Amino acid sequence: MSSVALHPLERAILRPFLTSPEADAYLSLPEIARLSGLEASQVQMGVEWLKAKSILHERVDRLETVLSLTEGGEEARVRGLPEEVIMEALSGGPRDMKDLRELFPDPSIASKAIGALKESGAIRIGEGGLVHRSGDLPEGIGRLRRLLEEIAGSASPILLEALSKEDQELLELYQRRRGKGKGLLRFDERTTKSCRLDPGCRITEEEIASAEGLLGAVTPEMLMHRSWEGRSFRPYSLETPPPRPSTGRLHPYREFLDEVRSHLVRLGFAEMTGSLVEPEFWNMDALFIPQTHPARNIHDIYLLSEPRTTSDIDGWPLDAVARTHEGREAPTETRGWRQSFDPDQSRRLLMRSQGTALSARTLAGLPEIPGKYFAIARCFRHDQVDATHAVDFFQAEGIVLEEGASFRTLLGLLALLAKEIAGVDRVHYKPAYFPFTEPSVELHAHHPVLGWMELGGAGLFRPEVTRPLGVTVPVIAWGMGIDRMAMFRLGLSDIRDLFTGDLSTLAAMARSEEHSRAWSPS
Amino acid sequence: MPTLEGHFDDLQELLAGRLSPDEMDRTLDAVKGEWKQFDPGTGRFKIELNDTNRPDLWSVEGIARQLRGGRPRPGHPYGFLEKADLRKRKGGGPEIRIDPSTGTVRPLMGGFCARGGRLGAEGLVQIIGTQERLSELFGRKRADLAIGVYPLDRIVFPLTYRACDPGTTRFVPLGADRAMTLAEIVETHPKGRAYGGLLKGHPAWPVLFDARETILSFPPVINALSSGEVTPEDDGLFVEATGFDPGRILLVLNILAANLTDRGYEVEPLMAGGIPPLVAPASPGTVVHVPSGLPARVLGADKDPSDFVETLLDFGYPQISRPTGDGKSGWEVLSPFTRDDLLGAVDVVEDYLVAKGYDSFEPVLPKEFTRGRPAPRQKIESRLRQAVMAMGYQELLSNILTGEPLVTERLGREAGAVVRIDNPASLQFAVVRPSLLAGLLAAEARSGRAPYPHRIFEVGEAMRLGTASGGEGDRPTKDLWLMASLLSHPQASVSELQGVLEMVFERMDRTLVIRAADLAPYLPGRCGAYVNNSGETVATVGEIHPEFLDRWGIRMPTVCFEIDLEALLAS
Repeated sequence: MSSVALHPLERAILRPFLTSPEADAYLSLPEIARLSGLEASQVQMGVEWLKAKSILHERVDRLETVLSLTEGGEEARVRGLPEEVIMEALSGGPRDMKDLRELFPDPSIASKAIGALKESGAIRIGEGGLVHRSGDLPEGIGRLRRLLEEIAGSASPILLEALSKEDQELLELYQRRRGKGKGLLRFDERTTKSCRLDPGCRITEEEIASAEGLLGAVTPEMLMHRSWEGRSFRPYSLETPPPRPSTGRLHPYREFLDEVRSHLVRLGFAEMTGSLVEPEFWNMDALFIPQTHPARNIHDIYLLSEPRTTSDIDGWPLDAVARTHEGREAPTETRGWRQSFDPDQSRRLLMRSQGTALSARTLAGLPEIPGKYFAIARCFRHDQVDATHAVDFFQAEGIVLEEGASFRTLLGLLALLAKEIAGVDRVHYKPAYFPFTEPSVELHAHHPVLGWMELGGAGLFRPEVTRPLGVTVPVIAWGMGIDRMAMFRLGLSDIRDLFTGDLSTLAAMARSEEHSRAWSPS
Repeated sequence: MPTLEGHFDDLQELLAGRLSPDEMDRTLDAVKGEWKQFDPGTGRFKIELNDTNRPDLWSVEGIARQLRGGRPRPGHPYGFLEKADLRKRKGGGPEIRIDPSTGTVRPLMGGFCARGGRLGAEGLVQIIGTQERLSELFGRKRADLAIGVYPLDRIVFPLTYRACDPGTTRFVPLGADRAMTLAEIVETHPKGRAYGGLLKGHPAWPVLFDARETILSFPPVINALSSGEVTPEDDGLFVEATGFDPGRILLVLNILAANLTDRGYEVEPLMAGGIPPLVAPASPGTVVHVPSGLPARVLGADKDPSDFVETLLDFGYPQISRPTGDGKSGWEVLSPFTRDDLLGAVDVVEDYLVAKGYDSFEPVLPKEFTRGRPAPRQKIESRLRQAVMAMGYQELLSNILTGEPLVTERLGREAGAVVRIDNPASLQFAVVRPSLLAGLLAAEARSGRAPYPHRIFEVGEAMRLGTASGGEGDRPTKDLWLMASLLSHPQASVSELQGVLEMVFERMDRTLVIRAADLAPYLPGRCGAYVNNSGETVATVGEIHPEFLDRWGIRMPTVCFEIDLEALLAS
């Protein structure tokens, strides 16, 4: 270690050690401050640096206990200790126990003080619970009063260790225990430390002095006057851990969603958006979900209490959809659900339960053909909230309208999405059932760590969906559970953590995201 | 989705073939099932079935049947289909008389007898499970459809199904030791309490009598104790189903008849009265027309696959013929008698794909070029989020549903414009957030131990009620697009956050002037609002009043702002 790497603070701290007659003398921190002329905080900082460089060695000299009054202690000092209050009250003659209790906000304080006074013989309890004064205030109470005044009045901290053994024992009876509210005194422990030169370091006074002329920080004045010319700069020790700036960060899950969005845009998908609230018509009916389907009962969807329904049905192909559900004079050859269709149910409002509602609206709104559309939509399901179910969550989904799109196009698109969004090559197409697609498929992907897992569902929209909305080309529809993908990437096992307000969890999520490479897009 | 439990040996026996538990998940692709659990020690498994439209697959027998290609087990043909035709031709009085009194309460019943088999312990477990799944899921908790199964030996035909007075009609139901009136059963019997609601409002309730006027059951609630419970040893069974739709009744009876035939019973169809009479089980004869060229279109091929017919016949379709009508091409496909899920031609084509195995088709990519683009709103959000992040702020993401007190009492704001959920699952998530402040304050309240300073923000959707048109009727919902931020540290001040807010305005090229405002949860005199040209409030900023900090349990000076992004863009 070369002395020239020392900061002026460090040199100021070291000088007293080097000029001391005893080479291995210990100096306490206040002594160092006095001898160096530095502030206590500067000494503390410089000593830490020198310790890190193994130039100073520190030892703990002793533990000290600093005394201070609690709020209760301050009150007792001003208003009187409970024992004093009771003796004062009895100076006018015997009093009923009940009266004495009422002198205090908390009757247990009275009971305790009465017990203590009785034991010392200062009072006795006569017939009918009458309390008589039978002696003087116990000596301890007098001492306690004196100590409380002393602690409150002293400019410098009073140390427990500086008091007599007797006083120490007395005060310990009245100190506030950890976790308890009551008590007159607070005991704060602190340590005093001192330092000496580490025997291994060979720093001399001359070296310190020779470093004296080195330049510190470069200043604008220095540059203006060229005062640095012909002089040397003090090297800084860059090994010292630097202070870290507090930084801003985007939410890791939203970053993931942004990434998914950019992949989809790159693949030619245009984004759809819409309201959080949908009528059942777009969320269900237009998707050919029968009105009696279990997914439409109140245990699966969130209905609104006001407004319950929408009156704005402009542009709804309500009649074509109704005929398709009922299977009579439908715009496409179908048996339908063969049950009567209730247009009032169509107008009921719910919190969007699937992003597919946006696809239905897009199909009915003269989409571009060929066209690709997607949404990353917040959806709501009536589930018990737990580690795998959040009250609201994100769904990514999309549609592809293309003359000539087929089941094989669907498979190809799914493989592409698995590769681009989830970064997986091995997929399995499992036959599935959704009321609005036929054929329907579940996309399973093989993850190197987790094995086979479901990534999403897809299919070709049934003609019962497309025809009533005025679309005649084949439409591929797909959806992906991106929450689950994100959980893996962010190292989460509880889906609720995606929406956490706990800043520490959020920070951990961000770190995990930075380390995760396994499930990242190629 | 229906979940099914069974025994691996039972499944293999019904299938008349060997299976490997390791390959079951792929094997179940053909029935859209997932192999959820298997215990090699006990041989028991669980399967989750995804096709909510194919109740014929919701049983071990049904899965085995589909895996056998819809064919009956060797030596146990589905002879009841011909017997049903014979029964229809024979005419004569019905074995189950339907009294017109059941007309509004639960008008229809169908049923059949099964003889000469033996359920065994596993078979009994399966038939009870199937009965449950069909009546709970397909029958929507017995509302649309309920099923009864009885030992045959104590029943004397013909039976009569009629509606009776709930106060005076009495019998001993299963699970009781004394005679009770129908009304008493509905009030006190567990099954009565569960299903009695279906009869509410009807003066007379349905009861099934046999020829001696013995009460067999009280559909859809409970069977009589005297008709007895089915045991593993019963070689004769009577099965009935009640409801409103003859098609549904026929379908479940067909499924149960096929299942019992697979377990060695001989099924005898019965005729139930009514117009027209209902003979069950019987083929409903549903025919779906598949136009030629459709399979090719779905497959993305030049012409229809040559193995189309053969593959479907092997998948359980009983008959496929060329249409005879004028100018018609393609195929007339007869639906299997246990299925009623074929709505149109695409359903048949999907079965062809499933039968071939999805993995056997070569994927191709979409061919047409399309222009990708994010929503315009996303570009603005990105710009704002980046800007605020660069000023040292951490982004947050909160749930949109929240508890009402969090957005009213805790913010000192009125509940009048809050959009409420009619059927919340929990009071914690009972309203749609009208503001992002609650999420930020909740986060701050939770994060007292995280090192300060705290600088957080969120951009996202929210909602409130608008004003009704003409001031009458329900108020419409209004989607909100908001951005909010929170700053908390020992020296946190309004001006520090106000600086951030004005930088945001600058980023959006907007200049707005602040006016003093008095708005909860902010401290009066330390709160301001930015208003646009049309008088709309674009943003508010202020120091949170200690009283509100206390409500959240926050012990650190805190300031917040919130921007209505739509109003900002409109300025």
